[in-house]
Amino acid sequence: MVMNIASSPTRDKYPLSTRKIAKKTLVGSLAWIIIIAILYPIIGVSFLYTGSTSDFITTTLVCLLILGIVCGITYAYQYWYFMVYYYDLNQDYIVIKKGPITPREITIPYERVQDVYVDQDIFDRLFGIYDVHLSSATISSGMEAHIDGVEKEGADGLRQLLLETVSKKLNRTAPPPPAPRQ
Amino acid sequence: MNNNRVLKDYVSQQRASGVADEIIKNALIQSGWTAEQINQALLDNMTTNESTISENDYPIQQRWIAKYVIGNCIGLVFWTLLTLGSSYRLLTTTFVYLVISTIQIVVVYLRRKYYRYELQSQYLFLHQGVLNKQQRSIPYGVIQHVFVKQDILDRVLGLASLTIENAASGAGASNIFTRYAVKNKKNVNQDIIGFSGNSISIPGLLKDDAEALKTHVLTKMKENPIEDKQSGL
Repeated sequence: MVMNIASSPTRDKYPLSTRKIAKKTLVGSLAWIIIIAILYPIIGVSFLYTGSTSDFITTTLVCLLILGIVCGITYAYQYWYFMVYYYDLNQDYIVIKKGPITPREITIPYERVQDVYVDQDIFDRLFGIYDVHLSSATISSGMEAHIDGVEKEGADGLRQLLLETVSKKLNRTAPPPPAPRQ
Repeated sequence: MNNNRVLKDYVSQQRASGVADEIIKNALIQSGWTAEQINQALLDNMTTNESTISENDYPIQQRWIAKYVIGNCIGLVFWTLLTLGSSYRLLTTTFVYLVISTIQIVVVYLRRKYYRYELQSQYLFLHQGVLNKQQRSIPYGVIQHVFVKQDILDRVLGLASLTIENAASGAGASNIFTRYAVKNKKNVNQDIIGFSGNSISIPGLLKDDAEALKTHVLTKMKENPIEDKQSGL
């Protein structure tokens, strides 16, 4: 399936890492992986003790099948999510839009940005990607406004660009008065 | 003609950002306008009755109520499935459920009916309340962000909701329930109609209307900056 990336000048310059899809797939199917990792040895080994090898093989196959389906669906969804993930630092506002099925779009003027920080959770460290967070003075902006899954250069560049634009916007002076046209 | 418009825009923009008339006057005289022109523009700016954008331009669609009807129907199906085991209670529980959801739909309908918003020249004016009437004027300068979202039922019905937030959490028009919600960080993004706490929600707009209204609010925010900068970055 071929899809177009939701491209913007900012995303072209500081692209999302494709490793984000892999990370999100791992995190999304982690619960299933853990359940199967616990159940499989118990059930499988018990079949080995009772000597029914065919049951053991069936169990193995079913486990692999479940894992495959879960990972496949999660991967497809995350690929879609990755493709429609839109972020743009334009002239006046920061626009972040995500969610393929239920789109959520937040627009923050630079003057309202209270906080910019970059972080990595443990899975981000495994895959070597970074999250750039920014927040205005509200709770929901802290939850919604982040760009996650950029590489080191992207994270540093985005942070730099954000901080520079914010301070540029704040030092802005009043526009010069217009002259009459004769 | 065009000349006049330029002058008018400059005056209204400077006034909105709180610059004193004398300063505007001096700046304009220095760039070559005559005193009469300036006085006229200042006067015009006082008396102009700008056409405001309100819910007449971007109405909350009637079919937005359908969201609650569909939601309650789905809920009813699950509720029936849950209580299927104890069949003698089925009728009672279904009846109770129907009464509660009817009340909810009526309440939502009334809230929508008595909800007004208006993009005035300097304030976002809101009016809500069935029994307790509330009015709120929010200066554009304190709006923190603008949020457009669609949940799954919105997608089906072709609607979108616009949420605007300022930084007044736990203040102003909030009540004990919203304060509790904010404290627990639950239901913060809940799609309510009207304003409560620091968020103002205008749900049930057509997708294009929501985008257009968002642009209007952002333009107003740009035209009416606040004087002391909030960000310390």
